[in-house]
Amino acid sequence: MIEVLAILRKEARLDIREVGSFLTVALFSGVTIFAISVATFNQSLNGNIAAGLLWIALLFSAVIGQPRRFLQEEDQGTADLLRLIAQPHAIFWGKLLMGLLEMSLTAIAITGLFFLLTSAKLVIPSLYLLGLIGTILSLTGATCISGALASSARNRSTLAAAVALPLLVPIVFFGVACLRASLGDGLPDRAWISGWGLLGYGIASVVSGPWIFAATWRK
Amino acid sequence: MGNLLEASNLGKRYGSRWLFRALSFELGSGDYLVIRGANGSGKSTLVKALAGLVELTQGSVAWTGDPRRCLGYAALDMAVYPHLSPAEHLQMAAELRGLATGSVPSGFGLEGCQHTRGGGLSTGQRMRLKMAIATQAQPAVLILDEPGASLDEAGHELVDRLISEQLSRGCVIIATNNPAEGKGANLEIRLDD
Repeated sequence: MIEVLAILRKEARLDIREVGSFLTVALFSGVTIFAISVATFNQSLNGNIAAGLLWIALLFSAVIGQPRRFLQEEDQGTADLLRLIAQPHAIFWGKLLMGLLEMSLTAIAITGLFFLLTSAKLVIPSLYLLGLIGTILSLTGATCISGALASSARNRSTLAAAVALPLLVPIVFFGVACLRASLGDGLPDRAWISGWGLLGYGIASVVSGPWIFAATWRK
Repeated sequence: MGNLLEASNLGKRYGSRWLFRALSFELGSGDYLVIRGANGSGKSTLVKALAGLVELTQGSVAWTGDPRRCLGYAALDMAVYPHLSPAEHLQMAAELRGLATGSVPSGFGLEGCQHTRGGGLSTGQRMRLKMAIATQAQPAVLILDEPGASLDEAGHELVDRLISEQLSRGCVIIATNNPAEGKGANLEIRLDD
């Protein structure tokens, strides 16, 4: 636990001091929601469209922010230092926890701005909450796994995107179905199943991530 | 006392060129190995392989114990975090290795810059920091790659002191092109041969 906290503290310090990456995520999220609000000004936004737009903002925020944690260690040459002093499980958990924290803050900010600036109405709050928690877990888990898998490769940025694609497709299906029903469209019964499926996917990716990372991290 | 490091049949190939091949040796307490060779001969690759940082084409390296504690490695080309200070690096390393204390050790010349971020340190100060991290857990095996390349006179004295202290508790491996370094070594590998 002390080892995980040491990595988490390092990640937090680096995120605060390297403000650029955090600002990129914040800027992207803010501009996306603002653009949606301008485009739908004075129009009613139905659940189908609202869920899709909200999901695009969440998805791209995760893709921009999360894999970088793993790729950057190799890019700036600090991966060797970490290999010498840390266990791979501690590295993955520390980075994942920081990713979950950042993704949670981003998701809360995006949600708040979205309902503030658009005419979308929340119909089933509990379903929305389940979908949001599942989305945060699964998006962070999947993007961390893609970053971890690609971190040792030569063309790591390209590989991270290629690995992320098949991991993210099922999340998009589950996530959009869940949020759509919570915003007033679609069948709530099926949406609940999608919500639990999303949560299960998130838990599975978070639990399997450290093992996948450990297998690729040591040389 | 048993062997601290065993290297058997080591080989590394890039394309069709072998940097080294069929290299075997064992190091015990008090052993001091110097690896020499021209630029590009594979010295750094060999010490990285001994530290587990490079995948070998053939052969294996075995240490005794947890590599986080039993192995110390410092190299000129290894990076430190540009946004973390020496004090933060050492604290993090201590926590990751399960050590009780991670304070900045005296004698490394880091006292005046312990709160300066890595990006603001000179090359020599960064090397001193890497050596402080490498020796933090008092490892059985200490590996130094071109330790004196970026250091001043006091830095060279620090390297000599670290090697002398290390030989009383384990073994030392250094890779260097400097004839003044590795004079006290009892084992030598020349990679041009």
